[in-house]
Amino acid sequence: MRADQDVFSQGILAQVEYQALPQDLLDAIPFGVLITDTELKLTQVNQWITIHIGRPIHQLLGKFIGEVFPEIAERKLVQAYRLVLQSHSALTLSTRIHRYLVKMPAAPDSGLVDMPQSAVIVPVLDDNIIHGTLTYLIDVTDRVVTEIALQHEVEKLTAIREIDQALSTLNLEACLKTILSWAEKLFKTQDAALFLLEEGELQPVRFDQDSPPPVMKTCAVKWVAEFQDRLLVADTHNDPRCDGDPSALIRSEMAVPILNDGVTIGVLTVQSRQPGAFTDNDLTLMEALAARGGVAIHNARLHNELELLAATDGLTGLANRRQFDSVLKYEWTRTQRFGRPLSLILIDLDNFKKYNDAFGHPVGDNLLKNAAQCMRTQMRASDTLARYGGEEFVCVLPETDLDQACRAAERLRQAVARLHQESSLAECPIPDHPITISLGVAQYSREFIAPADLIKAADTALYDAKSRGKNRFSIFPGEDLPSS
Amino acid sequence: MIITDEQKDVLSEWVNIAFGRAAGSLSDLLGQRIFLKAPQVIVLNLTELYSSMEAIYSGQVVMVHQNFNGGVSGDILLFFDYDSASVLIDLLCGGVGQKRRLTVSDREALVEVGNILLNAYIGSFGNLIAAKIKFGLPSLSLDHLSDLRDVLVLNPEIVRLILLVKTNFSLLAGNVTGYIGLVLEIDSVETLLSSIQNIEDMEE
Repeated sequence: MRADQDVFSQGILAQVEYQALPQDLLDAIPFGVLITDTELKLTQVNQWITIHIGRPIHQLLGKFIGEVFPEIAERKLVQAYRLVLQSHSALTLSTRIHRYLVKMPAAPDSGLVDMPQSAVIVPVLDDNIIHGTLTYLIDVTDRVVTEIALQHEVEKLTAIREIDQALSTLNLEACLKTILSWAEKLFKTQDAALFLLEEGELQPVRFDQDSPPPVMKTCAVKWVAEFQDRLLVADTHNDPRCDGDPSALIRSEMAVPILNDGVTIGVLTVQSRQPGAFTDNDLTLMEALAARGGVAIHNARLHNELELLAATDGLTGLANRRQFDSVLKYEWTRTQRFGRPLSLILIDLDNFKKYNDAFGHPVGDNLLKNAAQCMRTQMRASDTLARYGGEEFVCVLPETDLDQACRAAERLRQAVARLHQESSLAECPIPDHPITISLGVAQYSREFIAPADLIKAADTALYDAKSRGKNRFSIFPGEDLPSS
Repeated sequence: MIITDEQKDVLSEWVNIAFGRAAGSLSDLLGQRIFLKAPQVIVLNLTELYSSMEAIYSGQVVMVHQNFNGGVSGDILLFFDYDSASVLIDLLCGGVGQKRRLTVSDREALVEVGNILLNAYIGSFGNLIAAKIKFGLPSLSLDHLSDLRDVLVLNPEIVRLILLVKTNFSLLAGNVTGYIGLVLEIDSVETLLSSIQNIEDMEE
């Protein structure tokens, strides 16, 4: 028969009449039995108890239970006995709340220090006269160990579910922060770090330059990146993979590869200054975190790339027409609301059709690329230069009045005029065909109703520049301004 | 027998006193401060229990139950809805009051809470009537409220009353509501009332 709580509920020993029980009978019982009189002095103790506490029976009998077992008195559990004597009713002392009644060492392979116990104190009654108490003491190590393991599994599943929710973002920085904060939370450490492979080199992830330097790229991190396998180092001082460095501050470490489609894209690591801080269970959980993190990082990166592609002109790498429309709309609204100046420059490569016909499309494309590159270097970071279509470009200049815009236009014109002298255009052998641009400049005016009106104004100015001989800029309305 | 309002007041007052003692024992034995908020006492016919509680407890009810007999006879029980029971155990074990599945160890801890409360509570009762009371063994059950009633209604011919106390267990990290019920036959209620009357007469 198994000694568990069923014995209590069936009450086999509950209604004990008071007379000393044969010691042999008590000793045959496979759990602890303590019997006291009404003054709570021990009158009988079975062998199970003496074996587990390692003290002879004569040291126990006749003494107050709180004196024999100070752990009972210290935790005020003598009061539980008094309550039983007073109420004549049994009382359970659970392992969940008290862990144990009598301190005994736990089984060596249990991973516990003290033996977890369930105890029931039963009144010893005879015709309703109380004679003392009888306590059953049951070793519930197996149950507690199983419950702890189960609890770990439940926590793991809960964590994975929450991680999945937190990682359902396409924002790369949010992904990385989520992975790190979960690693810190799950493994109760401040020393978690993420390394991402960039151009063949593992780089630590940092969110701003003010943040403290990330944990070191240890041997474990390098090992994991090289072998694409998880690693648990219980003690760095005697682990060959850490070169057994006896001076290392980090004493234990876990590291797992972050994979995407079977390829390592980074390494997640947590470290501790205590040896043996992490378990195999932890490592499995970290692997689950890294697996989800890998997918999330990949998705966020793809999303970033797509966003960039959707906003970029494939040939020149400048913003495309769609991106330009959205920027202009945004700046238009800002200008209307805050009354700040806004200017627009429309640019056209002079004689591009002839050039294309003479040298072919690949050379024409190359010219577009080079002209775009050249103009981009002339712009402020706040300006948006976009390919408007064909050989036309457009530039949005926020916080810029007509005068400043004219200076920018002239700067662009001169830069492009110098282009054919530069070696980067060696493929364009056209000394008799100097590369030039014409530009139309317009500033936002209250008379304009929609962004299209501003574009139309710049276009009118551009037409004016062309008709006046190209390689120059004009402004809208077509006043005579000093032009080059 | 019909219980008058005045008698209900007398019972309520007595229940309050017993309750104070029970709370003290609970704090001492569980090693942490537990406040039991000033309880409301309702006296119900047992058959009314189901209808009055149904709205509150539609799911599973966790109940620690103990019967007793002697000078007075009846049942005493502590019950919670499942979630409250699990939150209470989490709070008692140092948690922040998370809900979870109750393990065997959790249930045993609930038996302990029930034992301490009910023993202290009924202990005051025994002192009051100076009668010998013998307890059955405590048991824990997980049932629906309707099953709970079936456990308590032993014989439909016999009217049994329940003194129901709604209790708020307040701990440092949170609080939980539960109920303590004392189920008595009319005879026992009469014995109880006359004992209270005797004590009050003696005091006057």
